[in-house]
Amino acid sequence: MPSAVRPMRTSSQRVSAGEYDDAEQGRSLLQRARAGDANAFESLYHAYAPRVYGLAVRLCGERAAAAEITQDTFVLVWQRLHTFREQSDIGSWIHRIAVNCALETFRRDARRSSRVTLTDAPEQLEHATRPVLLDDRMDLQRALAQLSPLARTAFVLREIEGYSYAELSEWLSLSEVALRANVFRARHTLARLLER
Amino acid sequence: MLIHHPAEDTLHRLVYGEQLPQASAVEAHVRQCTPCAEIVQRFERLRRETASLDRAAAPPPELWQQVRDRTVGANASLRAATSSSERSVLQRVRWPLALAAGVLVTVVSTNRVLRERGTPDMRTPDTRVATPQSASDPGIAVLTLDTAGAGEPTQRLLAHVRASVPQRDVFVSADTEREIMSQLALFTDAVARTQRALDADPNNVQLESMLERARRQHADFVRSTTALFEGF
Repeated sequence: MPSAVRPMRTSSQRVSAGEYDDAEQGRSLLQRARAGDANAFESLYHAYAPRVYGLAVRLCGERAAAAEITQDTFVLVWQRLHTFREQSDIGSWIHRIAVNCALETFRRDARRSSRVTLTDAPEQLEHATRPVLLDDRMDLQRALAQLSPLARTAFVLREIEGYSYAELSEWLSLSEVALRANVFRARHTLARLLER
Repeated sequence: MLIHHPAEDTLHRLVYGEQLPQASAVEAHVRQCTPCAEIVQRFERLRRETASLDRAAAPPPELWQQVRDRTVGANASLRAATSSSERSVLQRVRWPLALAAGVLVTVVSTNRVLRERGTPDMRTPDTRVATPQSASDPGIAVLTLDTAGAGEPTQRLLAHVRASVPQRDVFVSADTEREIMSQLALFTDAVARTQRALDADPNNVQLESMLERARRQHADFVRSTTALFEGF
């Protein structure tokens, strides 16, 4: 049975090693997983997969795609365990890999859509194929699914995951002005949807 | 005292505590204005719900099995296969061959992508072919990049690449390296030229958008190139 470690922290929630009271246990698991210990890797998976999956669900608004992103994330984690330098906590490192996996999936899907339909606006396509909500009651998770992928990504990474505008600007290849505009649009749309 | 309703953008910045000139005047207005107070309440509700959102969600139970099959499971199969004392010659050279094939595929795909001048898109060539399955897998090609004579942007790119692949050097051919550097110089030059044009004509919206695009392409290129190395 995998031993429990604390869930990951995001960039806005980074803590010093002293505050992370089972950091020692996390490090020990990491060392064992690096040496190929399957149980240790399973423990890491069970500790961090819920945060990765939660992030992926919010970013893509769809559970099957979120499961794929989670799976790809942990495959990359396994392949890159030996490159992790322990300068940040492992949760933040896994979180960043998860965000990169999600962004890469979006880009791949957007390219695929644009090839198939010969359009320059894959965002609009994704918007059009979004599942219709059957329940009148609107909660935040459902409201998020109504946003365009870019606005949703900007909102989730900024407002929920706590990344700075500067970090996101580089990550998403958007100017800070454009990024702030997307976050504002997302807040505006979400606030209205939550009124329903 | 404000004599008009503040823009919605101003109200949301107020709620989110972002820098706002005349914040006290806006607050005073909101206290007396029902429509503005309602907008503020909407944003406050969103802020509350965002803060209370549960960030974790239980993944499907079968997901671990799928991850296992692609990670520790795959390695166990490999170990079982390679532990046999009667391995054929082909089995014994399997990893070096796979590595050599991976490097070849990566270099070829790098060259192919980098030759497509003009408007590079977000493509990242598939470099996973060469990705070792674990730290204990053999065969990481070692060839240090030659940075002699490289300019500042090149140095930055190389520093970025090195930071991304700690404890390893990266194999690239001299031709591929030259391709990367010349392509990077093109992007850097495009950004600089557009910036100069915009400096000369600061109100030109078209130039502004061109500059943003040039910067994005530059960043995309750096990211795509870095992803190639990270694939190792």
